Amino acid sequence: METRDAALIGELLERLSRETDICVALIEDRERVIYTNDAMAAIDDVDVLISRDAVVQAAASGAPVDTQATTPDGRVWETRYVPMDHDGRRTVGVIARNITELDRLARQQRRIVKDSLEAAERERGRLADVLHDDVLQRLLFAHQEWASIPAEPAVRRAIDAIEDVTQRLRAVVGELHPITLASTTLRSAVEALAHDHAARGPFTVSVQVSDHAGGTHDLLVLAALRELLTNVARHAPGAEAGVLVTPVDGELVIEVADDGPGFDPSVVDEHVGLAALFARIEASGGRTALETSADGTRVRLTLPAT
Amino acid sequence: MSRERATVVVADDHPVYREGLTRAIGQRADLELVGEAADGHAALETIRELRPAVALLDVKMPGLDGLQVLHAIRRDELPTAVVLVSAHAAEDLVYQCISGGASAFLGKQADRDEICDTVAAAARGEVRLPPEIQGQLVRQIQLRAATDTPRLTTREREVLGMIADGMSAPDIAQQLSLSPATVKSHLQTLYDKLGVNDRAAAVATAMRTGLLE
Repeated sequence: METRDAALIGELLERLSRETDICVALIEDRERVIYTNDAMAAIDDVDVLISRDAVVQAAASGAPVDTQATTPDGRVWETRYVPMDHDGRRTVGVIARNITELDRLARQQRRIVKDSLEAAERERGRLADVLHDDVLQRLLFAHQEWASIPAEPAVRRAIDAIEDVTQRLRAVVGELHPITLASTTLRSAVEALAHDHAARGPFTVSVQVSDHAGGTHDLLVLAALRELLTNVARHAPGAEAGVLVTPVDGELVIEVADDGPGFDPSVVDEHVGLAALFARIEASGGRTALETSADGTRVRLTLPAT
Repeated sequence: MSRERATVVVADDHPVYREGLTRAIGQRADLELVGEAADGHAALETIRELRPAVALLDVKMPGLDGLQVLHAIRRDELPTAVVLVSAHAAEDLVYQCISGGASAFLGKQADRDEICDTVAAAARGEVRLPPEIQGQLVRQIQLRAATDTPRLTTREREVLGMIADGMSAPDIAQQLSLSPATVKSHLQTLYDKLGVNDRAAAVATAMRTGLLE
């Protein structure tokens, strides 16, 4: 590189860093800093921002390494270590971008998604309670009153109609809030939910819920499965699906896999339900993984132990 | 034939539905309503005090639910038979009630004659279950018996059979026309379902639980 070009590039980087809070450094032989731009020079805790391990790893592997760092002033940085060959010397370029605001917004967004989904769930629970504890009881009462009258055809028809409404109402309550009874276990709620979705899909399903899976995450598990099984019905009608809810290494794993034709994973962000579910899992301290191909689709959610 | 009427306590938090039950019991020559309650705690207190022949309890009640009242009655060895009614007859709920010592479980849509007949039968020490509840109970017993056997999909069973035959992941991928990544994922799920960390343990556990011969 000509000296003039190097100076020009240096100038460009300085301007860039003034505009966008980008820090740049060049590190030779894994430890000697041969260049920093003004933004990098202004960082008090360069040792925190530049990870020696990442420099060594990038130099050794010859491939870029991406990490994140948080400096003691609270700023969050996205850092990339790019291995370069400079006059036969192994040099690593470090580019750090301040993403504090982006990070804050992303966290905030996940929290809003989580809060709003939880609020919606509470509301569904309240509705289910009102329908179950009052409306359904009155209907059952009416049914018994009619059933105690000698059965004329009109009475029989009225009883049939009440039975029909009762059944529909029960289904609605179950769908609104699968755990309407404290004594219902997570396993039976998951089984009922899965078989209900499978019947409507239609698809076939095998369900495995560990006895030790129940706990504080129950409502989240059911909300997640509701979304994932709706997806199976949408993308893989006729497929065979497997549902697994089990603790693995102290964390709770929720997995839904199908052998359907898969879908374009790039549409996930546009798919509001799935994107919201992933945001909610992440806001709850969990992880999400989606694999989809012509072999099928697998979504695996991992929640921290509570 | 003159027999002593069987004493009954009714507990249901919904006043309208409870009134229907108490009226029906009041009309029976063989039953005598001695108390009623609108929640689980009041129900248990009334039952402890009056020691009725039968307690007719709703499952979903504030405070203690019907199942908890049942457990307390059995724990305290009270001489009261328990008939549970529920608007929501989930299989595992039926199982928990019967295994917890209830004499009967009825859906709340049951007509009042059937409920009263069941209460009278419980007072005589009989156990009565309508056919649909019997079906639910049997399914739940079978399900619980099979709970040790992992539930595998067809694909997972194929992969399991192949690792038992000593095939490698790439061989399995080729044989099933799947990508190696997909086979790896199937293996991970298989291990999680079997609660193991490697192939050898997977095959051993599969044999023990009857998934493989």
